[in-house]
Amino acid sequence: MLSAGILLIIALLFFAAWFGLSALIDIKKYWQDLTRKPAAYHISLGIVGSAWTFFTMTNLVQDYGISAFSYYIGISAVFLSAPLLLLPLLQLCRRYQLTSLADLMSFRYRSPLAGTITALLLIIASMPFYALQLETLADAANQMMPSDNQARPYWLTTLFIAFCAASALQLSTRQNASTQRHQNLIALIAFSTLLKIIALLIIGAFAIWGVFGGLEDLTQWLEAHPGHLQGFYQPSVTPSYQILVLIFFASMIGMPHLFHMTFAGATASGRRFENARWALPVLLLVMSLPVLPTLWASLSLDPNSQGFAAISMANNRHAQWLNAITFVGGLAAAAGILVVLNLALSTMLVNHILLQFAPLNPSQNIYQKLNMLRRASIIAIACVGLILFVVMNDADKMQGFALLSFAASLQFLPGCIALLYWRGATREGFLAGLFAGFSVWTLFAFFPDGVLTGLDSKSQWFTLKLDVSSNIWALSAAASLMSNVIALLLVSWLSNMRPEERRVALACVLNTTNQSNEHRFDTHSAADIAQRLAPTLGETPAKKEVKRALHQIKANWGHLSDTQVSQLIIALRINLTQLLGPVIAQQTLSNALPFEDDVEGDIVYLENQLEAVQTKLQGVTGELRTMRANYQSMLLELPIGALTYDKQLIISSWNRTIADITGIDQQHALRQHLSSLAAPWGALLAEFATGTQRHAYKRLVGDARWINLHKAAVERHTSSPQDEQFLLIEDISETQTLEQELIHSERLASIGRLAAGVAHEIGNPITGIACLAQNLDFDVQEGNASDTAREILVQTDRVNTIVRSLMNFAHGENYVGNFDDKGRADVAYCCREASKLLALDKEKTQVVFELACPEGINAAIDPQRLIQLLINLLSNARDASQPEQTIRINVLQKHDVVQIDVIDEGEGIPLDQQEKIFEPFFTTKEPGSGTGLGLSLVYSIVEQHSGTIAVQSPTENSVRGTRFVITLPAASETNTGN
Amino acid sequence: MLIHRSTILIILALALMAPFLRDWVMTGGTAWYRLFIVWLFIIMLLTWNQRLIKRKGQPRA
Repeated sequence: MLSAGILLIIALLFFAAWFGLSALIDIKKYWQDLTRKPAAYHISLGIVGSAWTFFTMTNLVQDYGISAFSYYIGISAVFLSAPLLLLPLLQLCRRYQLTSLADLMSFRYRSPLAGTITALLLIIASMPFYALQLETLADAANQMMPSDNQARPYWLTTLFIAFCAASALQLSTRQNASTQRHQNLIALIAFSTLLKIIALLIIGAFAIWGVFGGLEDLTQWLEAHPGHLQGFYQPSVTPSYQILVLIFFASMIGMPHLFHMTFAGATASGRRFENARWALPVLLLVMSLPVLPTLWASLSLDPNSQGFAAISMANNRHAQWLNAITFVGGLAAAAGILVVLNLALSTMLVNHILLQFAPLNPSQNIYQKLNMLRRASIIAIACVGLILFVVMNDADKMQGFALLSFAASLQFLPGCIALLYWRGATREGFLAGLFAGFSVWTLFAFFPDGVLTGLDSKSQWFTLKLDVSSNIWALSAAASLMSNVIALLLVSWLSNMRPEERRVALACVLNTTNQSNEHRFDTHSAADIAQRLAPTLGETPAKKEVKRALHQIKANWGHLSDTQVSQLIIALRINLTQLLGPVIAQQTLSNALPFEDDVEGDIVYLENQLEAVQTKLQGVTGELRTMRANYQSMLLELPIGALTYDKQLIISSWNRTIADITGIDQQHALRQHLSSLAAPWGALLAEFATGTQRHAYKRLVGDARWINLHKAAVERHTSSPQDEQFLLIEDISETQTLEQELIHSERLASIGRLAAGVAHEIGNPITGIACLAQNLDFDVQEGNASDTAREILVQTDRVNTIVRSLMNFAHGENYVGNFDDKGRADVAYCCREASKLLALDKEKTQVVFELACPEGINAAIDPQRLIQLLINLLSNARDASQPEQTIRINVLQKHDVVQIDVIDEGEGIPLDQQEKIFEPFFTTKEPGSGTGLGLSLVYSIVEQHSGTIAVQSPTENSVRGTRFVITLPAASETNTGN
Repeated sequence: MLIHRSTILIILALALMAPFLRDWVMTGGTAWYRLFIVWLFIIMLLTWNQRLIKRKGQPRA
């Protein structure tokens, strides 16, 4: 037996560990990271195992056999079939920051009354379950303590409830963000679940190996005691198994603590829910495994054992360490449930009851008032729970009422299913359904053989029967559910749905957003928005909330674009929903910022709705939808930029190509005024859109982008046509570049042809003049005439040089190499030859040629042409260099390309001349010293060999020098003509 | 609400098989753990279905 002192020490140690963990998560990043792991959220869902199930599951199995597992099976079923109910609900809760069933109902049915009634019923229904946790813990402590001390341990329950309330207060009123608060809660609940599971596994292991000596011995014992097996498979009491599973299925949505952890936890932490689908059923399976061995071990030790099997087993074996572990597991289970229940119920109480009856006063500090209300609610709930525990003083009665709590949650199932699957459900229908369901349940409860069977003269309480096997019990659950459904359907059909409710109903059924960020508001000033919120929130809180929202959307005070205003409103809605609940947040924002137009007229909203319908449409409608989707997809993927805009120049569609061309993504363009787009697009597009021209060609945008613009009116076949225009942007930058290159090539070619003609025509007379000058020199021999004749010879020689150059250039233009015949050029050899030839001319500047060319590199070019090309480049480089400077020739092969770099250290070429150097007759040399055809020849040779040439001046990391980069195709293995 | 066809099929199949599974569990005798085997089988089946949907993106009902 454990003494009260030891139990107190264990409880205090547990409290210390709980608060210590909370503090660690607040201050240590490692622990914060740990709590952000998806596994923490999955384990925290183990909250479904309460202190009641922790201790009494064995007793329930003893009484109801295999049906006792219906609790765990019902909850596993709802998780395993998550796509039907949990996932869509989770998406809604995430999207609208809904944290309770009351939030969900008031949101969907657009009714504060629906939220208030839901909150009220849930709070009333949950309190017996709350008290039951205390009762179970007190009974367990009693059973662990010596038999001479059998008074109810009020000290323990009071201490425990104070601890739970303190923890809830700490979590609910702390200043950090909602997400962080939930992460702390998730971590603490995961911690309590782990303790609970470890305790259960130790108890189970002790039962199998400590009591029976192994699984085989357990099997032998069962064979020897078939009555226990029969009690498991065919218990004396046979409950309505299907109704129980249905009730526990619904409890996952209806019980506030389960809703809070499943939806609010996942929403705030932003964690993926998918894996929870199997993680929670596995957790419940693990928690169920030790139940049967523990029960049978307890019965094997004492066939008439009373109380909780685990404690009875430990007492019989005098294993006080096991009792201590069991107590820690029970404490953890109860603490998890009570803290979360306290938080969930107090939030509903404040948001849906207290604030509805005592609205916020803007002259007060709303933060202080909310904190005060939350604290008072938490303390009030804890006190009511404690009072119920003290007053009822009967575990069976509390158990019966707790089961009623679960049954009450069944009445919310039709409203929830209608919320997701039937958009015709109205507020009146939902409320009528609830009223009918609860009324029928109450009527059945007071039947002579119902759940409540009259007033007990002793305790002055209704005697409560927990006879779940009775027909009346199952019938009452089924009948109340049916009346709920019938009332919901009938009243919904008979009542009119308000437009706002219709819109939200559609959004819920299609699971899309109803409050898109596409509304247009009549303000663009953050200060104005704060001012409008001030009458409800108060001036300072309004400014604070707007500032916080601005920070979240990374915007500043001052003028906001349409998109920023929408984003700001969304951020405000989320923050205010977390602060005040969805009802008051919605009311506050609607009063302060009414929309300019109705959402159903919003084309983007309609697009979202149609997109969400997807394959639900069949037949002709489905085909039309597919056609529409195809057209939309075509527009989106069109390789030409496309946008549509209305008569106010507001953009309504923006495809991907236009996003690529302009660099403005769809999110920042939609719903914007054309002129508000980033420069230079805003002014250009707005000017074209408002102009009379339907086409504009070759507009230069920025430094290098050329575009064509076209526009057309879109004819709309609707009853209220809107002027909508379609604008196309064609990016012709590449075409423009190619066109310029073609013009350049054409010009070079025409010059080449001209040069050939001129050379041919000048060549003959010049030859004649040279012959005559030689004759004259021979005839005269001396004197002025001879000097003149020699001078004529020099000049004709010079003209011949020019003519030869022209002929070379002209031949180069027309040269068509056959590389298979001509073979390949050994680049290293050609470079050496070219530099040797240049070195022979001693009259020119003496420079150093530095060759860096690996042997074996071959280019697909005639060797003579390559030498000619190199001589031109190297002679230019030499002319630009100072004596003793170095000219480097670097050659390398990159895959199929040979790259030749000729780098000099000369003055370099001015930027404005770099574009002209390849043009014929362009030279920077002094008159008479250059023909201006060298680089033109190089250019034409390179081009004819499918190569490229580029110039860089100054060279890298220098302020002078020039680098010519030539690429030529590498010779293939078959190019071995030589 | 859009639910994957395969999920609906599996849930329907499980609902149809429920009586047989229940009989198999109830006639377990000393094999009391049959309930947990069925439980585990259903978890594995639906997890496999979830992975399949995620990987292949099956058509929706």
